[in-house]
Amino acid sequence: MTAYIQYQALSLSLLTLVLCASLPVSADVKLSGFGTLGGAISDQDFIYQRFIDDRGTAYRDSVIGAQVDVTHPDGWGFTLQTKAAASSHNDTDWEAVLNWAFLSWRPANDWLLRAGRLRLPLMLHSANSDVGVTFPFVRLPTELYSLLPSVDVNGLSVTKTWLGDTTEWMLEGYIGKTHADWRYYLRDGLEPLFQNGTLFLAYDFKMIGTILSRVSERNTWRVGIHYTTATWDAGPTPIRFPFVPLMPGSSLGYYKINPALPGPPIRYAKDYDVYLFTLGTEIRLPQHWQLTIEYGRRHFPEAVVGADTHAGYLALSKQIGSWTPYCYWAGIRSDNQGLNLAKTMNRNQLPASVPNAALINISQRAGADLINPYEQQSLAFGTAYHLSRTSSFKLEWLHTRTGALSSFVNAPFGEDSGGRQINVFSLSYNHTF
Amino acid sequence: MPIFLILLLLSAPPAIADLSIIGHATVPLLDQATLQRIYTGKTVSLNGVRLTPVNLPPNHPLRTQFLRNYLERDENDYTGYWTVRCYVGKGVPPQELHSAADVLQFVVNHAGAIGYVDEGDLTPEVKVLLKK
Repeated sequence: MTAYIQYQALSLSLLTLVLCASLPVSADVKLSGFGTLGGAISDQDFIYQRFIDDRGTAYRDSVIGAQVDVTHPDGWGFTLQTKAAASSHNDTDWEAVLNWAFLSWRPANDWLLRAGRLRLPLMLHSANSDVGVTFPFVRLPTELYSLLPSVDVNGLSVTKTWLGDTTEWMLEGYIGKTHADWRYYLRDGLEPLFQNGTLFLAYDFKMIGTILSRVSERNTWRVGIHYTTATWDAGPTPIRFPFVPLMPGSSLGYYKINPALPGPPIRYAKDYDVYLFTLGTEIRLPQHWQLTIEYGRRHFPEAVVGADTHAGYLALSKQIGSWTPYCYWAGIRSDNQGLNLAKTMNRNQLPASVPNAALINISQRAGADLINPYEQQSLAFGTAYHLSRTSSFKLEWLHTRTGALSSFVNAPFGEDSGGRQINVFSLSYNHTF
Repeated sequence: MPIFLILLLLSAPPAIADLSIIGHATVPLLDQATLQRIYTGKTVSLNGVRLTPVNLPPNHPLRTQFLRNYLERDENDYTGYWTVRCYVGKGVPPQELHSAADVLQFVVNHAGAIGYVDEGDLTPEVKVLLKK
């Protein structure tokens, strides 16, 4: 897949060169770039948010990218953006990917059409999430900004704008598809299906959605509704794991995670249906205070999974000269059905006297991890120091507490991701040019 | 009294340029709100004429004055606005030209072009679109 993306990137880069070479003199070509050099360290010896532990990492937040914008006075444009950052296909590599490669057309003041590889404005800062100088936080709250493994799609977007005297309304609709990996972490392997450790399962995503925004001098509001189908590369996706009692009517039994185990069949679906509902606001208050609130609901109507979540955050910041101190509270919680199933499965252990108990018990814990449950809250205090509008330093202390289970934590072997307290200290330098 | 007047004159701030918003002959007259929308990428055409605004480089005295008096923003605000807009894929800031002479030449030669110069640099080939 990486090779395919690299091939696409190369093809599009060549296309850009050809386009630039054949452009009329009146076209304007603008090259810009952005980068973040960020370090983070926690007070725990297990990994949090893919990379952070007590040895420190620069992988979590560092990114470098470049963008080419070609605009023609007739309203046509072409935008290409590439970035290099930690891979989204494994937890060890650094990779270059193509975020954007789209043609745009602005036939009139109130219409914008874009076709190609686009980044969806799922949340307030999704589209500019790689460009650290455009928001005050060291990193956008992971509880909310992880709704989908990728928000870059190949597709079409249409935006209609209504300009009032003081208010701007925008309605954007899009349709597209993408291929991305959903990350799991298994404390125990589910041989021969999966080994223990980090697991990246590849899905094809087909997406359609609409976003309504209202922007004024004092505030921004945005609401979005999105529908996605996620089709697993390996075939049908399991949506229900049956409970197999050891004796009829007994509560002693196991959840059938592995098709090789005895019991009724696991229920599968051709793909996951995923509905996303997003709501966000930025309100500029007197004395340079700003309140930001965002909420995201990710709903799987067919499947009982931990990824069926409610997530959100509330942030307060204040601009004081070159400083923007901030604090935020963020939280994510799986819907009751998925979280309860994961909790029950996680603690379901058969006595050793049951044949194959060890194997079954391991499968229960692996099953709980595969359900991808989330229950955690975070509190962050930090500040950005703006050297200019194009460069800033940021510093943050983040305190996270996990509830019953949290898939953002790589729990050590034989332990749980729940009941953890993690302190993360981060420092970053952000720049655009 | 004369000494007081002399001191007053000496302590007065240096004279600032008298800016005029200029455009190609094809561009209609503007009001300030429309000008603000043009320089923030929200308005790209007027009466069927595709617009091409141009700017002077950051911290150029005329640009600073233009941002303050016509767009009602400072350099940081304006750059910050376009940084976000650029990185959400909604366009790029107006092209930047080196000098007022370049602006004049560009506006004369490009249909739909809009710029700003010191009133003293005006030539008969350009149309004054707005003046405060």
